Amino acid sequence: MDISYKWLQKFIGESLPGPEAVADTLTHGAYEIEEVSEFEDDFIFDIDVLPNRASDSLGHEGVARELAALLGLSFNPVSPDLDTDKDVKTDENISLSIETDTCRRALKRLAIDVEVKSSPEWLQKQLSSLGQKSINNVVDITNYVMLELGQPVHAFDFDKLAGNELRKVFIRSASAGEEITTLDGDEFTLKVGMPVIADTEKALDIAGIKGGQMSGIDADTTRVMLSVCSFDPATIRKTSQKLNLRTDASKRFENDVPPAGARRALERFSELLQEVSGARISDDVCDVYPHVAADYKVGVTTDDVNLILGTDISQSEVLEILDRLGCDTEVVNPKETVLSVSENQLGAPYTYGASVLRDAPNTFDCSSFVSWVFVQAGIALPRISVDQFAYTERIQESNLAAGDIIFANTEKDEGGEIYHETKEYMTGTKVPNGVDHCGIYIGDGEVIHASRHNESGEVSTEPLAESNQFKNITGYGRVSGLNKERIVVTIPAWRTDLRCLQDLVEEVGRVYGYEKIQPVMPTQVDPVTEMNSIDVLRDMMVAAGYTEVKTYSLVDKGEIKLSNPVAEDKAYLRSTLRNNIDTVLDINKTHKPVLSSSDLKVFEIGEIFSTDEEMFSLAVGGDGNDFKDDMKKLFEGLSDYFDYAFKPEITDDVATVVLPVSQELSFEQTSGKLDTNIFTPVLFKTPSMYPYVLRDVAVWTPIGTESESVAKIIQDAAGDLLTATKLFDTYEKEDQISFAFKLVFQSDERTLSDKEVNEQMQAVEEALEDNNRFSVR
Amino acid sequence: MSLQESETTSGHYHPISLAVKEIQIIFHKLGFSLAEGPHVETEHYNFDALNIPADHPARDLWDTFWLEDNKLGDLLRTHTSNVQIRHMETNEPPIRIIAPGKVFRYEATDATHETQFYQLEGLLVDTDVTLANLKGVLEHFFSEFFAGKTEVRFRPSYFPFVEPGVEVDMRRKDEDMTDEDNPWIEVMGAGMVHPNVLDNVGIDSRQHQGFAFGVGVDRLLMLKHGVPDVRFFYNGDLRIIEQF
Repeated sequence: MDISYKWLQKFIGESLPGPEAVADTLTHGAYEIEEVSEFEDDFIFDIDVLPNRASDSLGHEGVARELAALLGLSFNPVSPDLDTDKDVKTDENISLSIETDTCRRALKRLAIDVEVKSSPEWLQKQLSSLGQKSINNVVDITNYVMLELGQPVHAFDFDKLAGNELRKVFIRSASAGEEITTLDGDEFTLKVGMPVIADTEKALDIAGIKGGQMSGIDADTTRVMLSVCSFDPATIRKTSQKLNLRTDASKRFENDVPPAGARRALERFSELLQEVSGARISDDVCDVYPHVAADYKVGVTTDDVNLILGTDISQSEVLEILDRLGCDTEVVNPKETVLSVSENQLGAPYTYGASVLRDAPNTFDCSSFVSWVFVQAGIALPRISVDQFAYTERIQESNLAAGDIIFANTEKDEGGEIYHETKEYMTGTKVPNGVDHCGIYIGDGEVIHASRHNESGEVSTEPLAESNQFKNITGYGRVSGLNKERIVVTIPAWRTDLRCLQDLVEEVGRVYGYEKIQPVMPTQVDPVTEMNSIDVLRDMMVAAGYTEVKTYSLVDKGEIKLSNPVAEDKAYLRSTLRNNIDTVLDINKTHKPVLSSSDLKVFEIGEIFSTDEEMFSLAVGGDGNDFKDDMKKLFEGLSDYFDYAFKPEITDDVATVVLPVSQELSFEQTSGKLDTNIFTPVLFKTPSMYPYVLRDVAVWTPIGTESESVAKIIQDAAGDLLTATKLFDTYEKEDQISFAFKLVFQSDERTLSDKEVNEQMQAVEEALEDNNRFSVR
Repeated sequence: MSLQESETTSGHYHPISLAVKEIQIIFHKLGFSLAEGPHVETEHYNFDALNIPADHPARDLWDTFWLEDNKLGDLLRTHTSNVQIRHMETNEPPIRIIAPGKVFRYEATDATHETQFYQLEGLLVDTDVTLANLKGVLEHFFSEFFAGKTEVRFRPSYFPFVEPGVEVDMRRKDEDMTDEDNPWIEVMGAGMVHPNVLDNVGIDSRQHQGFAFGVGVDRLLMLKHGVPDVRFFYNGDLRIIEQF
């Protein structure tokens, strides 16, 4: 997401520090900055907004809000102020009905006397700095509002909607095979479940994703229907994936654009449309919002913060940070809150299956009542009674205290199901006596609960002993921490990612500063000494002189096929290591002179896949004449060591065997004998891509001469192009000994010429002859 | 077969095995044992149990190889977090494990991207584990692995299975060097295990908490030895492997 430095400044009361300091603050406090670039007199940050922050940070206002919080500066949110026209009536011209749950809220408004023209310079420049093309003033403003607020908005040409006086607009699921042509002329065939905005005749827009051509703004447009919506994120994501149509709008909607902000976005859209097109904007607004989202509340204690972060942050600091992030906080005694809040709900009507988020506190069922009451005290309980049962600590009746929860089995008298195991919390935990009802004990033998059987079907209190619903009590539950002070945090509507106390701990941690967390080692425990059988096998193979390779698991044939391979020759999971080892032997044949050993001896231990199982296999490959005999001995040795009969399939140059599960292998645990020299850091050298040249040299020396000293003379004389010196023959005659070396010449930069190598060889021979007692053969 | 007494010259470990072995030794000393799991995995173990639901944009963070219908599973694991889940399902806290292994990503290959690479994840779950402990363990680990005092820093990040979630940078601890000469290097993702993940495997998140981290073994090797291209590890060229 491209973010303009100058645009951010518009939301901040004080002068921002320079762009680099801003990038640094954001990097350490909030997001990863991929790049900072210059655009004319502005700077553009390329911010990698991750999915948790994509709900609030895919717009300049959101990023500025975050920046202000991190820097402790004052933040001025967009607050639209427009002149509406009472003579322009949305309600007389537009009717709106939402016919799909996918749409959480929709707003429409009429604007007339719109003059479509090119955008003013400031708008063109702002869009261009963020890589957006200018189209016309109306379309540009829709983009501007999205880039500012993160809320996609759309402009329809009102006169292109079907109808005469009143234009009826529907937000509905597409019908099977319904077709639409988008603004840029692409045609799509829709499926049932994909949301569209439609008039009485046709789909106008793939809702939340892309506008349609039929209702697009053109030079003749004079009346505009402004449109702002909020959609179910998963539906938008599924639809855009199925259509393979990812847009700026779909990206935002799939990340949860909250319905609460839609009205302000419409005001902003209206204000700016008026500014750039001279439009007259209706005073009234059509706003359909079936389930108004309640504030989300999460509780946290300062202890929670410090016990997770390993810090010593004070409560006042915690409160201050949460306040900077736009959270309302209230410090409560949970027990007192539970008692007072529950009493305040006396008389609230009963609805089976009432939602805690959407319906409370207007209506409750028994468990939504309990759950909602505890949320007000900053305690998140599971939603349904059986889960609440499992979540709370069992106590005896004699210990019952105000604030405890009482669970009962009404034998279906409450009309719902009797649950005998948990549903969503620790799913499947058994509750043998069953639960279908619950209430809160408020002391003095009284219980408060929501029940359809209460006198007038509502929240009420009654003596526990006389309650019909609590005749068969199946347990008393205590919520821990009920007497411990808690911070109840009201989450701002735009932060849809803050849903549990750990989310708040992260907020406090990152604003407080992760750099202030001092490293602490965990409690020391006994070291682990057991070795794994595959590691032991690998050690044995290396000790036996074999070099380990790791090859690709994705190959050109096998028993299990990928549905999205990157290439046809990588479309299957390997069912054997044999072919890979064959390839390894092939490619290394040409490298032999520059390798340390004379014969190739390689192995791989790796996963293979058949239709029935995933297994580990050992494959061994080699190229010597004695390979077959070597293999026989190797596997005899392994069988002996592991007390397990390995039965490899051996061909001329490769042996493979499927490894048994580790329990079938017995071996001696020999920890602590590992040669740690194998970990000595080496500086890697990329092998040359140019061919090597081979030359031999043999030299007579007096008996007693060390081959190393001869090799040293050769290396000094030959210089850097000599990359390997291998002694391949020694021969003694009388008082002389002959050493024959194979010399490998290679450059990292070019193909060596014969002439060049000949010169080096001449230098080598001359250097050897310099010693009177040496003679080159 | 007595290997010590034979006159055979040793072969070479593959550098990945060598690095995993070295990391294993460092963590074994801290009481972390080895855990393993399958490469072909179900959507449940690779995603859902890790608090990455279907149709959530977080799925885009892992480019996944999906498999045609078969008996083994839905996909190739994109991380070894599946091993963490499987281990936690069958073990009670305290838990200290490392899970090294091959993982797969659906992406174009270049010098720093491969369709297969090795990841090593660590998990510590107990009653009183903190983010400060994560910092302590990682500083210890890097100092040992890179053979010199190393410091780490956390930056805010997002992985659905941890909360708080952090990106981990490291560098040599050297007071005399400037930031320019001794830049921070991004090496891994980590954080405190998300309560949903614990609850999903039947560990009560009100009683237990823990940290988890995941690091690319290939990347650590490239940093440690100056290897310029990740593909060198899988092309079978012995001129590469013999250097280790």
